[in-house]
Amino acid sequence: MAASEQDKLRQQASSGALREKANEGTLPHNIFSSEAFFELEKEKIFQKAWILLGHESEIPDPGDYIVRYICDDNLIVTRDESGEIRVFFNECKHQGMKVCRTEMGNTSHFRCPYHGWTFANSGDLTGVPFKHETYDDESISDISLDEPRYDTYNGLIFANLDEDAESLEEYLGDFTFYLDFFVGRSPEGMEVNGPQRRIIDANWKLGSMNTMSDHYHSVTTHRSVSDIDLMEHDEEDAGIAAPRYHVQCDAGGLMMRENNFFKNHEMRDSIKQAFSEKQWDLVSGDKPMGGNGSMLPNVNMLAARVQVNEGESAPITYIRTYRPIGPDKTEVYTWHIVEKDAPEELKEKSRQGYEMAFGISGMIEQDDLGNWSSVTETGKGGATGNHDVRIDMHLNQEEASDWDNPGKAYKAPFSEVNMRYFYNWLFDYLEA
Amino acid sequence: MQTEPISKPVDDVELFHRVRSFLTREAELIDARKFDDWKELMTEDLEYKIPVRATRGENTHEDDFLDMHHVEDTKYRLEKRINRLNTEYSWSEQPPSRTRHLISNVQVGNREAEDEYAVKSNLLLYVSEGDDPDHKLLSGRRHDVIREVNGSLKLARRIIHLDNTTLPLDRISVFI
Repeated sequence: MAASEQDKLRQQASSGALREKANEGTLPHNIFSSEAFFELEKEKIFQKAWILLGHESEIPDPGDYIVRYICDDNLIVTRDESGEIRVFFNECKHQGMKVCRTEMGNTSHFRCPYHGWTFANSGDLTGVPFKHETYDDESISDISLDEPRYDTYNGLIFANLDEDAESLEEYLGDFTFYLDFFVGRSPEGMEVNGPQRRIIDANWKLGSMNTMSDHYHSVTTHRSVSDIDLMEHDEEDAGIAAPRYHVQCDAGGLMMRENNFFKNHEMRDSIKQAFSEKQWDLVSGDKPMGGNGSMLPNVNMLAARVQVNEGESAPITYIRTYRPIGPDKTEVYTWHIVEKDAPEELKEKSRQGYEMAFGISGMIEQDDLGNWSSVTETGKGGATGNHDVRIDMHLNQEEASDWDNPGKAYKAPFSEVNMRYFYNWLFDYLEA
Repeated sequence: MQTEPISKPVDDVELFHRVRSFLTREAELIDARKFDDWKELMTEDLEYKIPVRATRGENTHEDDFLDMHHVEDTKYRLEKRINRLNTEYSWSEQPPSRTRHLISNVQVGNREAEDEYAVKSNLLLYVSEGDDPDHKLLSGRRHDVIREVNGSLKLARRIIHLDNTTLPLDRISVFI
């Protein structure tokens, strides 16, 4: 795409013109491939919003650490000697080399291989080779690794690169009501396996749009799954075109419908203890709900039951996040998440069900990737990049009157209303 | 441990030849996409696992695996994957990937049980898709258990240790 075209797209994003277009039901195709638009997203969204780094259960003991990214910024997430979770930029305070070059592990100190500056896992500089021969004591007396803002919610660890951003609590708002269905299902807490990491040739937005809004693709993209009976079906299952609520609530959106995840869940009694009465009402009773969704900007969640062995199903839940590397390059992290108080046998079956259906070899997820990389690739076309893509399904639908839960909901088997919510949220950041 | 190097490979030319032929035949069936025939080379209690590797510490190497797998199949799950590929809607393999399994450094160890052998091999898997001139390449070490069943060899267990932690693939839709 010509530089002038990119500038135009960027200008339209900032001025509100693209928001107006999205609300009328179209997006410029090159929103998935433009370098300029991508740079704007990196600066205005990924340096301003709360971004998921991992889960507390990945670092259970003092000294445990994981290394994660927000776009190109590399961060160490560690549990210090007092048991507190800390997040540091992986950048030596001397000349900027990474002080940690592994993905995870356990250590009390990080030693920079360049000149040997050593930092405790509290971030404090504790060692400088030839200290007296190199610097004035004063100039290196109060140095520690830089920290972004960070906070946790129900085990999820987030960071925010903007010192002035709202708190995580304000950011999430009432979306926590729904987030708990995936990450807050036990009074004992949840634990993750993974992550699986891989690089895909697709724009980061496509996964978020897909998981919070697009049930329509299931009919065709995931047709093979019903052909081979991968998922557990209930006798009452109304089928793929059953109506669902497309819910929009503060920092997220999801699709909820009557399903068997909570109804048949082996840990029902304990899950009930973890939920508020209102949360429990939604997932129990005559029409128990379940579903999948996205937390903005880039976290996907899904809960379902997979036929893990002959005649045997297991409840599975994943968390998936996207690290944007370029407009057409994204690193994907996926974790399996399970109740800590579940019996070991159930945890194992749940993990195996996840691996069968989702993640890198999952029989559902593997069919999604080609779609996302293809949409990204056609967005690069000199002609097709300037075409529009549609997000106008059920454009003027009335809000559902029978949704007595946080946020708004729209009732339809298929709808693109949550895609429009996603872009309105996005443009709140891009226009700021 | 089942993934440790073989300390003393067997000195049995005939057995080595049978195992080598088995591995070649098996790889050829995958590359020829004769998955239903390939499946017949597996025992009913098959374990087929690709654990997720992580760069975990400064001094560790062989055992850096998470409690998570890229693939953790049984015969039932493998059959599901093959059944899926046999449907009209297995989009991730339409058009089909072209794969080339190069199997080398084969070592046959002592019997694991009365009728089983520990077999190690290296894998280089080349994957070409559509008209894309770029290829995907995966390398790894395979830790197999091969069993004598009524005079034929069958694969009872395979643990594949890929050399990547972050995979250079958007999906695993081929058999590794």
